[in-house]
Amino acid sequence: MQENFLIGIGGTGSRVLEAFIHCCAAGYGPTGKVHILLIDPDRGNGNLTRTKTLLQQYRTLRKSFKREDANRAFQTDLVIPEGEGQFIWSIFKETDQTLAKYIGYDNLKGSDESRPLADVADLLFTQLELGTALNEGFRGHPSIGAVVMANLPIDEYPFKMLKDNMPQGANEARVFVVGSIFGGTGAAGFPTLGAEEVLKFNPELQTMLGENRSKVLLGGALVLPYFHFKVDNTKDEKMFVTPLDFPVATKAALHYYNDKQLAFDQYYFIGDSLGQEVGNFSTGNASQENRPHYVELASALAAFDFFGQDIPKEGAEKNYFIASRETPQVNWDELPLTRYSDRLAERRAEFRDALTEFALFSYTYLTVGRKYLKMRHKDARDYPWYKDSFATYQESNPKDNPAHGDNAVLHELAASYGQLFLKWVTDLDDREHVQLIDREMLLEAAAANAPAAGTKPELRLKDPEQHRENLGRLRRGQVTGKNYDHYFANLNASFIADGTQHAAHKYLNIFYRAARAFNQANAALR
Amino acid sequence: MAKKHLFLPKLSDANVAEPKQNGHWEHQEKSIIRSISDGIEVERDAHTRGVSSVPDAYGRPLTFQSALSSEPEKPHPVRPRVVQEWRGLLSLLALYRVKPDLNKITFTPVQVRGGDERRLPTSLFKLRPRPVELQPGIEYVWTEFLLVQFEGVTLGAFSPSTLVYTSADYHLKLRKKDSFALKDAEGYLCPPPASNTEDLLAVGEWVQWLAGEFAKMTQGLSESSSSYPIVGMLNRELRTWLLEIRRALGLPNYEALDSPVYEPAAEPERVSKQDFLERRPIYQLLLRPLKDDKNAATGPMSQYALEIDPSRRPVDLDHVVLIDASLLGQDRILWKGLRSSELGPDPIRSVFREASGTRINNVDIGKDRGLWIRPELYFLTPTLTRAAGPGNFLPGAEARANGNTARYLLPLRKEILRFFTVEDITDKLQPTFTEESDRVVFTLRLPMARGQSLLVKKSYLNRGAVQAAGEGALIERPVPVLELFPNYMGEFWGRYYMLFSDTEKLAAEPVHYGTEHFYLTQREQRLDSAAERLRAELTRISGPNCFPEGIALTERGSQAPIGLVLVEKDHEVEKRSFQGKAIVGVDFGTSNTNVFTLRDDDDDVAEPLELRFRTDYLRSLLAAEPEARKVFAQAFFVPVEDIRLPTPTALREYNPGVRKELLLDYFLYFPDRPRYPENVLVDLKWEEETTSNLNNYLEGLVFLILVELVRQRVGTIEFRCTYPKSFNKTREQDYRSKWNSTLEGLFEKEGKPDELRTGQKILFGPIENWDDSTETTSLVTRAGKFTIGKVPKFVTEGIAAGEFFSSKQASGIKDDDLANKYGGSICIDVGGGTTDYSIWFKSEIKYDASVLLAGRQIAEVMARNSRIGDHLLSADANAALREAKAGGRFASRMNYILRREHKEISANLAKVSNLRDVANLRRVLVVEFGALAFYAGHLTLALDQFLKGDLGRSLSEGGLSLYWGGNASKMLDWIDHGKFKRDGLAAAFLNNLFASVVMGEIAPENERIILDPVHLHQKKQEKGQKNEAAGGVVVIKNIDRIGITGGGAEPKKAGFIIPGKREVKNVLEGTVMGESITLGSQNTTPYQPVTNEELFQGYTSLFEGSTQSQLDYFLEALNAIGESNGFLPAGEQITLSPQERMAIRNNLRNDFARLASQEPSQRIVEPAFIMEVRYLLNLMLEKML
Repeated sequence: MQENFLIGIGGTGSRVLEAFIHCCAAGYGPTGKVHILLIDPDRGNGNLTRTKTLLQQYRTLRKSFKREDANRAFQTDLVIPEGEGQFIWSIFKETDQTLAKYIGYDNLKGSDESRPLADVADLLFTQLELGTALNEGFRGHPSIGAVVMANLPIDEYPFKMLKDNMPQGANEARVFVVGSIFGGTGAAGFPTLGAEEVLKFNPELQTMLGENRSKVLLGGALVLPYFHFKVDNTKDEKMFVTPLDFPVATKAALHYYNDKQLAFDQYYFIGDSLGQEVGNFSTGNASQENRPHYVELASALAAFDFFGQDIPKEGAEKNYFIASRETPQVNWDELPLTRYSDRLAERRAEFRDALTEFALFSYTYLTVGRKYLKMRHKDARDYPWYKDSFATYQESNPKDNPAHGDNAVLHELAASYGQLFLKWVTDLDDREHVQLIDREMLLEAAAANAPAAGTKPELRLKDPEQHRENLGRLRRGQVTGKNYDHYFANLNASFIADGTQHAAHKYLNIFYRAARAFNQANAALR
Repeated sequence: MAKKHLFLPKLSDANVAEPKQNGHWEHQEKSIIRSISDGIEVERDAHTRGVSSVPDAYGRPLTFQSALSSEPEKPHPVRPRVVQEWRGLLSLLALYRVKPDLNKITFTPVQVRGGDERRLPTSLFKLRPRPVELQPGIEYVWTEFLLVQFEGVTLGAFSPSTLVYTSADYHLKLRKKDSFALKDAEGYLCPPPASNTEDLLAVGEWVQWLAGEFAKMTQGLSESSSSYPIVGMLNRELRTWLLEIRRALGLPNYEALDSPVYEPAAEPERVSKQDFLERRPIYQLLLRPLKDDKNAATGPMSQYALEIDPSRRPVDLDHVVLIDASLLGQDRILWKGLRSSELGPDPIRSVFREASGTRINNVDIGKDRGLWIRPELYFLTPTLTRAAGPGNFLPGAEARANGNTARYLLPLRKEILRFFTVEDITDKLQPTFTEESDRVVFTLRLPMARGQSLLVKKSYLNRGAVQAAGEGALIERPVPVLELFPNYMGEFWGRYYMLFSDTEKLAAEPVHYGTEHFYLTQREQRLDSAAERLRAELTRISGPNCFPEGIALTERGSQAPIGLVLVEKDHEVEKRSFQGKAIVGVDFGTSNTNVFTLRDDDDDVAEPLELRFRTDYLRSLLAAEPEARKVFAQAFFVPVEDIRLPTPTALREYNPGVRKELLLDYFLYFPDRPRYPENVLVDLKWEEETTSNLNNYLEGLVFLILVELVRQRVGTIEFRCTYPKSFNKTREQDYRSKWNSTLEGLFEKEGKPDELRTGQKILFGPIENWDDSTETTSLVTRAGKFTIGKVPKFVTEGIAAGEFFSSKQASGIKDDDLANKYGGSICIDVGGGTTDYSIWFKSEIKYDASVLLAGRQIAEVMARNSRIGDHLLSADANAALREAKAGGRFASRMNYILRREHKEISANLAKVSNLRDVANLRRVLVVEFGALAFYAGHLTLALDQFLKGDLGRSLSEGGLSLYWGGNASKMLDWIDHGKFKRDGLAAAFLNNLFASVVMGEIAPENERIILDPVHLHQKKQEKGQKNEAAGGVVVIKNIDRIGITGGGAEPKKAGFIIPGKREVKNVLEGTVMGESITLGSQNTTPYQPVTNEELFQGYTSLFEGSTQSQLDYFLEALNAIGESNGFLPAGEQITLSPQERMAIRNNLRNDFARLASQEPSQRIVEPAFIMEVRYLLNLMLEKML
């Protein structure tokens, strides 16, 4: 039975995971489980924190929100270890870890017998590599990370997940590794996990089936340079790769992938032809929190393709995938979604609808939905959708009263996730090249959306009742669409009479129904 | 260029097949990876940032593989760097055995195995790439490392896929190593540059060989092998490199590369403790570095070598490498396997900071007997010296060898003489001074191989001028006294001396690098007096051919060199060869010592030796003030003036009792003033207790004689020595043996240079150059054969003087005035201690005698009565005499004064002769000389009796002259008011006193000799007084023959002492007493010779007393003569009271008793008459005071 494992490595891995989660939230994820693993020594990394939070929210919301069957949002079970088990391998338990400390360089050097081994370390690594603190990542020196990651703690979480969930048949464990190959951690981890002895034919994992067969179908997205920074020259950091180095580093890395025989069965090569600038460059740590990028979305889409592929034939050739679009612009029509050309249209519609619907849901729920939730029952019941849905209203019963205090948790969860999704999806859009969800339709002016220092960022959304045409033009490329009136009609039509549904869930499901209906109607106008 | 937009970075000219469908994950071939890589644009300088982006523990070797595998048209981003380092490391493996700077390469094997739980091995094992099948069936695995290390830096390792690869950041450490040729400015390995054609060709030969062997070994590898492309890539890379090497060397594409000096080693280097290498033949190839080609002609060790005359080259050096910025700039072979460009930037500052050395980075050129020098530091001094004031620093005569100027001291360090002779320096190096406005520029041209030369140039700036790096200062200094003695003698001469005056500020060191055996012994001498405080350093320079080539001057404290005086040999001396013969006659006298030479090529004229200190022997090497030079030389060295002998017999000793080294501790003293220094010893001849003074004096004297004669290149030297007959046997034997040992001590015949270090040996030659006979020793020299009669001939002073008076050759006396050798004549040489008689008859000296009545007695008079000096001498001389008071020192000074002030004394005498004190002196003189004449009469009678009247008859017929020499020459003048006249007062006394003996009543009538007063003459040696013995001894003919045949029946040979023979018995033996004495119960006749056997019986004296008949008779005659000529008028006559007569009588008896107590050989038996006269003179002296 197929088991999916998604392993994100480093900053890029974490950000691809973010895209992956959002897509799952929108309902584009596979049915069933995807085990999530993250490898990042940089515990304080902003991207990592964001992803971690996002995953937790996803899982909490998915667990607490009873969707209607037709609603594919959150359908994917993103699995992480239960209890205390970590889904992030931060590699080092100690702080101030260096490669030298990790391999016991000084001890090696100090003994006549083992000194030659220290000399081998000198042969393969620079002194800077040996001596630089690694807790913030491998800083563009992936060869260091390779040494460390070659020693995967298979009997500890998150890797124990692999062991715990290893299926029996050939290629049934679909392991997808994603990370950048031009930087540090990702670059190090990608080929290391691709080394034959590490996953594909790891005796500890018992993945070998003989005759070069393995339980593991190993895929990877090699993320090539896709973001540009402004380099902060004021920091005296000797050991990092600056964007200036990316092309050279990438070339060298690709040569390596060409030469080295890795255990990957399928490779996706992904990069940015647009040269988007995403902010100031920073070497790891909390300041590394950048705008999401379409390359990350494309990488997540590669993962969906990988998990979604048909059962591969045994002994199949290795696959190397790339994708194209016609114009510089990235839009709904030409994001790479599948290896199967005959399913392209279908997948495209699924993807487009999933994301648009979820955007509409989030937006309307955050604006309209929350507004009504704050109304008094007697005022709200003037609206058909409400009245019909909460006909058995009892103020004290949370099952019947959507605004009951007990339901606030779910509503907050939904609102919070909606915020994250909207932020992510609108940040993807840069108007010029990436044209997916039009942020201007959703968000107040940029200044208003700049979070005050020390406050939790909250999106300032435009009120759809005032910007009545906006709802119909959320999707880029849609010049004319239906307006708020139409939406409201859809909302009213989305009532749920089912008395068994808990008020909190019902409330959300109504808005989801409305978003879906509006989207379908609106899409027909294009 | 793709038309579609890819979900990939911007690519240029990428060979990427565009997906047919957009938005579709479209499958591609594996080549898409390279296509993407190729399409990524890279800034030009991005390669140099050294980004390591290979995400693998084996990233380093895999980067090499990737880079080398990439096609040159679509290069891997770091291909240029990798190719450089790859070739650099292979070049290192080729060259490290032949380039000394690189030879510290070591190989360390490391094998990583599974199951090693340490983290690094675990990772390396897990991540190991698949093995490479470089050869059919032989896999090269990645976990077998062979590290290539240099001085602890891991430079790289062997690689399964690229043969070798370099370390991650070795360049940072390698950059700091000066001693590594194969690196670029950043420290990355690189192959030899095109400019280094030798090394490039050598590497080319190795790579050519490697490529060939590699191709053979990999042949047969299946095309289906995954390693096939790797082998192809390596073949291609090696071929490409070879092509580039050929192009760099300007060779056609297929020309074989063949280094003339190297070839790959036949066997691989052994690497311990690892067997994996044995299974890897290709790795074994890499372990076969270039070695010297056994068939190759050896090239020069250095193209910067100083050219040195092989005969001059120091024993420990074969190569001297010149380090100079201009030479280094030529980038030639600095040392075998090492070019100057390989030393990094500014090697003078980093490698060659010192003046010289044997290490060039890691290379110990000393092991190959090499030395590098920086000529301007090694050869030149930091300062240039000139004389304070307008004068020169060097004498004009020394200019030629010293840069053609006397103005400056050559600013050279002594080390230059290690490599060049003085002539080389002058002729080839051509030191030159150029005066400019604020400086003097000194240049020197050093010869190099193949006609090259290096111009060494240094500016010395005047005081006040701003000095830049490398420039020196011009210093003015007072000029010290620097004297060398003697001047060049020849290669066989083993000793010279040096005097240096400036012992407080400067030091002077004689230098000679042309000989292994060059010994210096130094003494610091000081002389502190109220007037002056002198310090000087004396140096004995000894060893074979030890004439110094230069004198190095240094600051005494810091020992900083200030310059060098180059000393040319005396070419005039070198041109001459030994020839001719000289007889050297030595009269070692009580107060004076005289030496005569008779040269057979010199018109047969005997001449007193002239010690030509000024004109010949003494060499001034610095232009000190003449007065200073004189003062120092006189105080501590040898005179600066020529000295014509005789000279006072005086020895100077600097520290009491220290007599180790001639000239440093003691030497002959040549007075230049009446007042001798305190440390001058006199009266050497008659010393009883020690004879070391005599030894030392003779040693010095012989040294000087040899200096003169060897410089004159006299081929054969025969020594003849005189001695007073009054020497007792012991003293006589002692004197002879001292001479023998002194002469024998001159030679070092065993060829042992060390023997010259100390001691007396002067003449050196290899064993085969010596020729020894019983009489002579010869040495073959470059100037011909030099022979010394090692056993001197000894003759009594009387005989020698007799020869003198009869020899025109010796004395220069006119024919008429020569002693009548045939008819008979008497020669009387009045010395300081003895008066020596000889009597000629029938052309032979029939008798000679020696008595202790001479100049000493007169000196005593003057010493006891200083008023005499007031009248006759200069104030200075008189003061000096007064200080000396009495004894030998007085006599010696007196002697010197008399000689120097003779004319003045004579002039004064004319004025003051009648003053009481002077008159008293003249009375003494009359008594003394009268007594000598009186005694001569006794001798004549004795000989006549022995000759059975022949002599008397001859004299009666032919007349007789008495020849007076020695002190008589002056003192007879004094009697005559300053000028002796043949018919003057003195002559009257002498004639009459002599006649009164031979013609008077002393002898029976038939034994008397009747002389015609007209034909009795007193003749005085006018010029060259004191030459008598020395001059006479050299003109004796057939001295050997006489000696040999002298034994036996020939009584006429009596008086000659024949070495080794017993004295002939039947000659006139014994002492003519001149007085009638009582022996036992019998009285002797006054002119009867008395033998010692008659005088002593064992240790008992048989002498009973003197009759004093002759003393009485002498006084009677004297007074009569004096009365007649008015010199001793009545009342002033010389008389003795009975007590005085008794005292004299007792004294004589006591004297004989004392003699009896001595060993017979120690006894000096004197004529009783002479003894009586001495006591008489004492009495007179006491009365005069």
